[in-house]
Amino acid sequence: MSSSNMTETLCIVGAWLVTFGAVGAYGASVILRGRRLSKIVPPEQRRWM
Amino acid sequence: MSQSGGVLSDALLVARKDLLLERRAKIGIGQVLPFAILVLLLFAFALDPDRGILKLATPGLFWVTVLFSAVLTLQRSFALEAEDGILEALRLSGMSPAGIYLGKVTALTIELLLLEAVLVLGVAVLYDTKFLGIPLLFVIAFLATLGIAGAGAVYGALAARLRSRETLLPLLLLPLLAPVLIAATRGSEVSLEREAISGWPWAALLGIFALVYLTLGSFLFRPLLEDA
Amino acid sequence: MTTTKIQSASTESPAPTGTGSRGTKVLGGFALVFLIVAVAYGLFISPPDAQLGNTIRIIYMHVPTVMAAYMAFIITAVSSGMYLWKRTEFWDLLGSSGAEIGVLFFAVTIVDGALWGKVTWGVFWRWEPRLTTSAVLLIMYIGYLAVRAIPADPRTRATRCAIIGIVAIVNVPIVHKAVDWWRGLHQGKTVLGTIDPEMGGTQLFAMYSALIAGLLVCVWLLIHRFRAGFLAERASDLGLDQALEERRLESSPATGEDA
Repeated sequence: MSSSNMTETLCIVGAWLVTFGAVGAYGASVILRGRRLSKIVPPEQRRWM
Repeated sequence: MSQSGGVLSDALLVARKDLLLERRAKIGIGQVLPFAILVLLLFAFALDPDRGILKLATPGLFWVTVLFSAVLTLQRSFALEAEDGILEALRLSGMSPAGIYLGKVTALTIELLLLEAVLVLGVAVLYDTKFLGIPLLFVIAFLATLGIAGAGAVYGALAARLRSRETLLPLLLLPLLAPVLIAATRGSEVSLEREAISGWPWAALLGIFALVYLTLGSFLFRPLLEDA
Repeated sequence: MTTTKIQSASTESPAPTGTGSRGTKVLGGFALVFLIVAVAYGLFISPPDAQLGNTIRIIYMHVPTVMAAYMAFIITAVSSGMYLWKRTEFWDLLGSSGAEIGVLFFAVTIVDGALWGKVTWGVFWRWEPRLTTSAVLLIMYIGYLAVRAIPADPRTRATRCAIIGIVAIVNVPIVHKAVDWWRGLHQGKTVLGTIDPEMGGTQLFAMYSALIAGLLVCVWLLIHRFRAGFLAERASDLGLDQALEERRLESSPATGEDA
């Protein structure tokens, strides 16, 4: 495999990994934050507007 | 309660107050202007004047210097008011927020235009610039400055009461003014080097920018003064 | 302030233990299906493009993320306007959620664009109009989040953010125009951030499934982020109440500063 092909593959896979990784990590952090906060906030206030 | 005054007379009142304050404090002449000229010198040190880069980059360097000086001017102008509670007083005085805003913009535009006039002299002397399309240059300088002041007054007032305003104002304002920098630089380039034909679209863009931000600022200054 | 639209249906069901609900689960399921299709077609089934070659597979990620970012910023702008009009916590929270998610997607967009540039031009960064515009706008919205992060009374903070949200969106077309003209002097039309009308069948399918997946994920994140923000507000109210209570009990002024 030539080095330009190598770069191409790396960049394509990298782009997908970055996209899924960043969005996934953010989503996970938001959900975990939500669970943590749900333990603090009393149930009667845990209703979305 | 001066409710009869109307937006324009309010604006004139605020502008006159600001210019008077500035004439007394002399921050612009005593600090901002020397800073701007210092930046011109620093650019010359950074970009060797003998290699011609300085000459090529003159319009860009000029406008970057103006932007930095504008941030300083804004910070000064609004810090004074936040400390002394002048904004609060203006709001309670029954003046129209749009009038206060337009007054601030007028004062800032005049201050910045004076600064630019001196800077142009500095550039002419230090960077050996030859000026060609003078009318275009005037129009571009005026519209760009109006845009900078228009957008700057909104964010200056917004950042004034924040403790981290020194770092926040440039972060908020400079990306907003990126199109002004592009248009003013390209427009000045045209007027400095070639004949002033294709520079007018840039002037138009600057005009649109100024108009948009003046309109926006006139509307947004009410919630800004009341709640922010 | 708090409307009871959803409350009425759930008076007997237990309070949620997180930001999920039946709605978000269904939405997340749809997003997942489209994501799987997008991966299958985008990475494996669809052929390389006649002009772009395999780098079109980066565009499959680039376009959805930039669209999702713009959708989030438009939601922020609308919410900002609505906040200044209605002054409710709902619009404030929606606006700030949109800005945060927009920044996330925009950052990803720029990284994808740079990777595409590495393959196509051999360098990560060229002053390509779309990439340049994205970089300027990204920093503009980072400013929004910076102001958002400054502790203040909720109404003050919300007003500040609403003003920035409106000013920022108005600037989007101006930055576009300025950067287009600026770069227009140097190079031709851009391929980044656009859908080529001459795309083949499976390529279009890959693109659109990725696009739908991206928008669904964006909405899904928005809902979760909104609810997390709502919980955070309640928790900080609670913290404030507790602090007041403690202060009253101790009957001596607390010296510890809290933001």
